[in-house]
Amino acid sequence: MHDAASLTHGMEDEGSLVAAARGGDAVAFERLVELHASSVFRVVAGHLGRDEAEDAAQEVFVRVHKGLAGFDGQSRLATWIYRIATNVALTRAQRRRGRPRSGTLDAAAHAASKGAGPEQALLARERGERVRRAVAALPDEQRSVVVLRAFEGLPFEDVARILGIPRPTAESRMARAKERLREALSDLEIF
Amino acid sequence: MENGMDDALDRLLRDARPEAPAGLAGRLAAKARDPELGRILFWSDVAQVSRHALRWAAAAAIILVVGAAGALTIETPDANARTAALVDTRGREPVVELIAAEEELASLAMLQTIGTR
Repeated sequence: MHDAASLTHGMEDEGSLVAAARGGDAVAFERLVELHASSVFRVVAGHLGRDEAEDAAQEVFVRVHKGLAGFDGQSRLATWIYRIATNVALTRAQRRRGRPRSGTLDAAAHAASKGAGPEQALLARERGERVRRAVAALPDEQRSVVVLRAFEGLPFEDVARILGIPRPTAESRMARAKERLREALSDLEIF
Repeated sequence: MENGMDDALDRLLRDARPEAPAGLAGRLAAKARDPELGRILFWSDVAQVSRHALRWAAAAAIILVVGAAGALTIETPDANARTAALVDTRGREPVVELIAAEEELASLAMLQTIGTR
C-alpha cells in the first residue's frame, strides 16, 4: 500500500516482517501496521466516513493480528489487508443502514464554512465533503471499486484481485459509478 | 490514472480522498494486540453468525411451510378424485351383487313357474 499505486511495493521487507510478526514480534507487527494504516484508514473512511473510520481501522488490524498466523502468503499481504478492510467496512455499512445516519459529514462541512482559513481552502474542503458524501451514497459494489481505484489509485488488476471479481467487472462497475457521481455532482460545474 | 485516463472526476475523487489523522498507526498498533479487543470481536462475530443462522432457519421454515401448503393444495384434487373413484367402485359392489342376486332369484322363480306348469 504505502501510498503507492501498486501492491508490489515493499515486497523485500514484507516477508520477513510477516514471519517475525507471526512469531510474536511486537515491533514487526507495529511496523506492518505503520506501513498499512493510512491505506486502511482511507478505505474504511471512503465507505463509512471519518467518524467511524478509526474504529473500523482498529477492527481491521485486530483481525489482521488474529489472522496473521493463518495467512498463507498465497496472495500479497496488501491484497489480504485491503480485502479485510473492505469486508469490515461493508459489514459496518450494512449494519449502519438500519440506524439513523450521523450528521457529521454535514457538520464538518458546516464547521469548514465557518472556519478561519482562506476562501479557496474552505471551498476545497466543502467540495471534498460533497464528493465523499456522493461516494458514500453509491451501492456497495460500486463504492468498493471507487474507493480502491480512485482513492487508493490501485490498478484495475489489483482492484479485481482484492474484490475477487474479474477485471472487466471492476471496470464496468467503475464506469457506472462515475456516471452516478457525475450526475450527483453536476452542480459543481467542473465537468 | 491507468491508460492515461484522467478526467475532471478522477482528479476530484483523488483530491477528496480521506487522509489519516496524525498518530493513527501508533494507536492502532497498540490496541490491535489487546486480547480484550480480540475477544470482543470474537463474540461479535459469533453473534453475527447466530443472527445469520437464525435468519436462514426462519427462511427455511417459511419455505417448508409454503412448500407443504403448496404440495397439499396440489395434492388435494388428486386425492379427492382417488377417494371419489374408490367410493364409486366400492359403493357399486353391493349394488352389483344385489342385482345379480335379484336376477338369480328371478331366474329361479321362472324355472319354478315352468316346473309347476
